[in-house]
Amino acid sequence: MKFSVCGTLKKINSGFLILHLLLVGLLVPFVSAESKHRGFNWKNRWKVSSCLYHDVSEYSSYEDTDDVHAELRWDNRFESNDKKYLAVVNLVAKYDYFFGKDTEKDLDIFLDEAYLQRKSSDYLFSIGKQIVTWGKLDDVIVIDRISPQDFSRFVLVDKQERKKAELMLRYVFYRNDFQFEGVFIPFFYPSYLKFRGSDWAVFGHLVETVREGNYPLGVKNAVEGVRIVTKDSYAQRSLRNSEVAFRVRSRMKEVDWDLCYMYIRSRIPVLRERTAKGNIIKKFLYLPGPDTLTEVSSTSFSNNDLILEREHPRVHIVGGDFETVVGNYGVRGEGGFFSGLPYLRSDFSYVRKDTVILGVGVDHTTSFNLYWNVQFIETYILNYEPLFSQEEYSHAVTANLKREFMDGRWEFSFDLAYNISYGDRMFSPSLTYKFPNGLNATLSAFVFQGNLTTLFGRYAKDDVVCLELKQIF
Amino acid sequence: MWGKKILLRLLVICIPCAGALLSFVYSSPMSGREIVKEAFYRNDGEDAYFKVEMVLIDKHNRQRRRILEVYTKDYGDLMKSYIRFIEPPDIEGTAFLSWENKEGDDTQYLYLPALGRARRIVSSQKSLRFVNTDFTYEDMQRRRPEKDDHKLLREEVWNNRMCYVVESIPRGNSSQYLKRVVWIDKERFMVLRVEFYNQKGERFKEMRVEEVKSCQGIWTAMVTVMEDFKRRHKTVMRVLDVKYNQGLSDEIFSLRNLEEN
Repeated sequence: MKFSVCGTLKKINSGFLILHLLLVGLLVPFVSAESKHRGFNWKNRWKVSSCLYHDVSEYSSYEDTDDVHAELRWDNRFESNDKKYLAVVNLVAKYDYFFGKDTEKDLDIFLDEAYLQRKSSDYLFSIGKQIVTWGKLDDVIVIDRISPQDFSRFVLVDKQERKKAELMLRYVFYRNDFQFEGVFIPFFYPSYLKFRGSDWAVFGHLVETVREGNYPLGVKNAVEGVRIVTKDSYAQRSLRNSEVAFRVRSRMKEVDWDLCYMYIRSRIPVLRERTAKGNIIKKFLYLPGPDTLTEVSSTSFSNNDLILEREHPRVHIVGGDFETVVGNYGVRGEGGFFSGLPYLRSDFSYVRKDTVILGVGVDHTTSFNLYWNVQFIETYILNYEPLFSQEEYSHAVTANLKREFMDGRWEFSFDLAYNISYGDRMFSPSLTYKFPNGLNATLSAFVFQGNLTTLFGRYAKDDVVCLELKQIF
Repeated sequence: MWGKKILLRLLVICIPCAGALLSFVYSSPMSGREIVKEAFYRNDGEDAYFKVEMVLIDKHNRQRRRILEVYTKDYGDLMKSYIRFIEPPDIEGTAFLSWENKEGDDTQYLYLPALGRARRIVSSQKSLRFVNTDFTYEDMQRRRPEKDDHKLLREEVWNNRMCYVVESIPRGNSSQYLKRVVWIDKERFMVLRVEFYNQKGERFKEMRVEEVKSCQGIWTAMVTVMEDFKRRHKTVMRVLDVKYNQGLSDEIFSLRNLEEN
């Protein structure tokens, strides 16, 4: 991997800056405000962000060399004067411009969070599109599984920003030092994950590469004919797809703890074959190479063989978390038992396995104002049998270093995620300058390393640098 | 990481207590310890609300402005505090919750909107600066009189007020400072000025109360300046609104309120 920062800076074309300035300019007359009306108080806030991603190691003509993402948010809170009623309406407009062989533009305007809330001294009830956050670890998914996430840019975006607001009913009951919470999700909402046709898709641009490349016709037809489908039963707006989750929270001495139970569908899809031959095509998609290519070219596929279903099995999750302070260190952890998480066997057939995931994290700020946060996550698959890219026990570590300079105007941050068991890793340094007018400019990089069979290794050729401008009014 | 110690602690320390009456009661000379105790336990209301503007001024006179709301409530000898930033927009919604404990450090939580949940934070790292101001977390905390040895140095006029000048030397390793020299209004028992000395014995920082006003009968520091001579940086805190004894609900000082507001 080699960085070409100069090249990237050249790519910061005037269009990108004009886009940001245009958005900012449009907002100036509508800067956030708080206004009191009869009976209620209206607060609104505008947020503009534009980000230019530049792929520093181009390996395929199908890659998006540059990608501009612009976002405009308008957050509104209407709260009754007695603070018992609250309505939240957040509107978002997203614009994506992908530069590459097939330039794509995409504008999306939608309601993000939009809910009504009623609260008293004993309870809180909310209904509508909302985001729920459970768990204590940072940027790691152990029990924080209620809100689906948008992985269209893999993990270039923080976990909290990846979350999608969906329709839910939430009820929280407070009694003494205990908090009882129930969440009802009437329909099923999967996390957004692309399997092909994007730099961040699981299979990248494999289909296009095969289509245009010098491959046997049988292989081309097979790969071209693959259909990744969502089962009708998942897509139905039916209460049969409803999900529930419960949580109890309290505090024992200096330890805050939560216990939770969830009966939800697995948010991230795993591809399930309809026939045994489907595993041959899956194997090629996950591990394209001479061996798997030969296997595909020597097999004749029917249409049914080439249908792969996004499977989201129902999962029971029993878990909990804790958080406390020990001396000058913050200590937190979370873990859970997951019944029947979906995996792929070593022959790529679909299988479900009970799994235990535990994580613990420690953070500290040194006397030089350097903040560090280290988390360790252990995954154990019960009744283990050889699986594709999953060992019986696997260990992972994440780390974050952060320091502010020059009275907080500059901030340097370094993130690392390292799957110890598989050797793949992602690291991301970033430098932010905070202008006095509230504009934040961040230059960052994302570097992925590892084998093709690993989470980060799949994106080893997709290292990016990005420049982000963000402003809140 | 942002913060732990509560802005209002400082304000509360600066708020005058028993007022003029006390100066008549104590006709005999008071010791340094008695003076500091008197200032610490002065009447500052059962609860309080402040809206505060905080301006950070660097050596090039560049200014950054923040506005925050502070709520405090007494629970016997202990205090709970809740701070919420309302400006500028990029930190709006950031909030702190602090509960004093009888023994040990305070229990503190930080809510960052970007995190979507409250986070328990370490309250014992006293020498770190509070949100890039000139106040360290230790400065923001109420400091109990028994943590220091106090010595009355002299009485002198400062800012047209007759003051006790008391030297307070920390016991053990309970402070980042070698000592503090404190000017306490002789009549109102309000802290008007503090000089901070580092471990080398250098006076490197100073806090001054520049405007005082009686609000609901309680003397309140309306403008306070903390100046760091080494960094050539200062923080000006101006109270924009203050209300005492409003009967603030316990709910304000709960984890629930921190997360749901």
